[in-house]
Amino acid sequence: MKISSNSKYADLLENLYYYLQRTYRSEYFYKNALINKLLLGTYSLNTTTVLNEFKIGTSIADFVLLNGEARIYEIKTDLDSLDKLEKQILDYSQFGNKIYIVASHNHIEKLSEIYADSPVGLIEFTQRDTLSTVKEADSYSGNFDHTCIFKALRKHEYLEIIQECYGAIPDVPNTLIFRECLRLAKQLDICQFQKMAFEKLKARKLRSPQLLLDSRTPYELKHICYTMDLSTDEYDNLYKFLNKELAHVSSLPQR
Amino acid sequence: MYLPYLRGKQYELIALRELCDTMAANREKISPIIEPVKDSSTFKSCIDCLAQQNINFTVIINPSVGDLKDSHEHTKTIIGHLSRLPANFNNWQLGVLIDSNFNFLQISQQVLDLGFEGKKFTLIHNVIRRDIENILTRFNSGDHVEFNVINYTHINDRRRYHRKFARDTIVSLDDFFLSQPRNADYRQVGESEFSEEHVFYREDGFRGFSDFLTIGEPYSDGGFLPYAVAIHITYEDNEGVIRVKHFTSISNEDASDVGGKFAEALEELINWCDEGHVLETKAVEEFRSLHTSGHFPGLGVIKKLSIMHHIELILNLIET
Repeated sequence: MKISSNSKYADLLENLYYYLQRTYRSEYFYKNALINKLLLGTYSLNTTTVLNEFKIGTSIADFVLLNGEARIYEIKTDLDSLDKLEKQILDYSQFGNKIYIVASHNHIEKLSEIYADSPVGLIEFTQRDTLSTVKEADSYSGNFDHTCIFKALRKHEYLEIIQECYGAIPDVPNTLIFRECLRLAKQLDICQFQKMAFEKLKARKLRSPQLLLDSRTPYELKHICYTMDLSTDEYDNLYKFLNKELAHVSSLPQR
Repeated sequence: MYLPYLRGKQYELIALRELCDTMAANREKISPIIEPVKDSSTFKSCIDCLAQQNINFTVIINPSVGDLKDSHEHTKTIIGHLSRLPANFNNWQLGVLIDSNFNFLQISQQVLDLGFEGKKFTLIHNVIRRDIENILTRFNSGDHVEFNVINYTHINDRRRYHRKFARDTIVSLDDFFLSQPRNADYRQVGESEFSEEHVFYREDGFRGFSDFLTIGEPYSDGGFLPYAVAIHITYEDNEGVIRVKHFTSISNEDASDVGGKFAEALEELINWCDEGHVLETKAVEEFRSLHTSGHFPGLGVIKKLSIMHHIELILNLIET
């Protein structure tokens, strides 16, 4: 599509997106595909929560999808090396049931060999912007780790779990509360604890989920809108901006 | 005289507010310099507090860092707050940073426009200006400039530049705090030398001395949760040199449990205080009570106490 002076910002953005997708396939395109195709396509916002840049152990997961299971996605674009991958997978397996590597065609063959006999799943992000499952992930709980799961929680989340399991919160000063709760959490059955932590994380909700789904929120921006967790007002401003004609560019205040 | 140089962030300002009584008891020895970085109610309450206790201070009207930098609108805002100080209280200076892009015509005009004619100034010299005589004339030279603060971190010429200024106005400013890239690094460092200005400043021909306390000159807006908690405490060693001890948490592998890490660092601090190395300041007293209660007051309070401790230590070590 050609951009002319009566085109809208939405058109410009769409053009830029597809131009960049062809020329510089960064992580954003992978994440945006995951959000669009998994959260908004396959699963439902009512039963599923996505965590972005989520810290697990010393790694940061690109994409975590929580519904019946904790699925963790690690993205490897053509711009990434596979150096840290082994450590990342190990970290994620301390909390997630299923781990997927989402990679470009270039990485897939090598990854298929490395992970042939492991529970790790493989998804190819194709040139046509689709996600094609090369290998399904198996559910695995053998590496679940109390400390790792505990540290993924916010304070009110772990306090609720301790309250639910023990009927009370330890009466200690706030320099000791973390350690005391961790000590108590370690006495819980690991699978039970992972399940409870998982439910707490699932309860982290968006401010305006219906607007993320709304067709006025363009495909290209779904991931960033999700990450920034826009409010209703912020969505309104975004829609106004996207609908503005480019002809107004010259009347914008100069910096 | 000691002129602690503070960026007007929340806990720096609270530190000054909470030290008002201590400073009032040492009026001849102290004159804080505040570089406002936010238009906050804490800033207003802080200068009100200093005014009530008749403590001399300087407020910089052209800050170089933070939300209020680089704009004449911001200068106006700052001056607006200062103009609301009690009319009969004149024991303070307008602070002006003199750096390479300094426009003294504009600044002095702004000050005049807002009715501060005849007001006293503190000039903070961050660069060597070839036109310095000109600038000084503009500020009405000797009479109206109370302090010429020379920032020796940027002006290396310790011998000559200060000859440009009236002797009884010159103050040295240095950044003595050796900051580490990460808090966890202080654990290896353990302690470092700070300064001996309090011993030599007069001999060296200065009316007073200034430093960036245990914060350091580089400015940051603060942000991420640290992997380690460090408490910086200054003390005078047997040779009369001020040194800074860094009490640092031990379990620093991730950003979790900041409260527990504080307890680790505090434990080492209190053990060391019990060995009698330290001046038992108001801040140390508060650290002791946190140790007893096991309460973690937040990272801002740790910084506040470190600053308060340093100011009280210096006040204790100097005559006037």
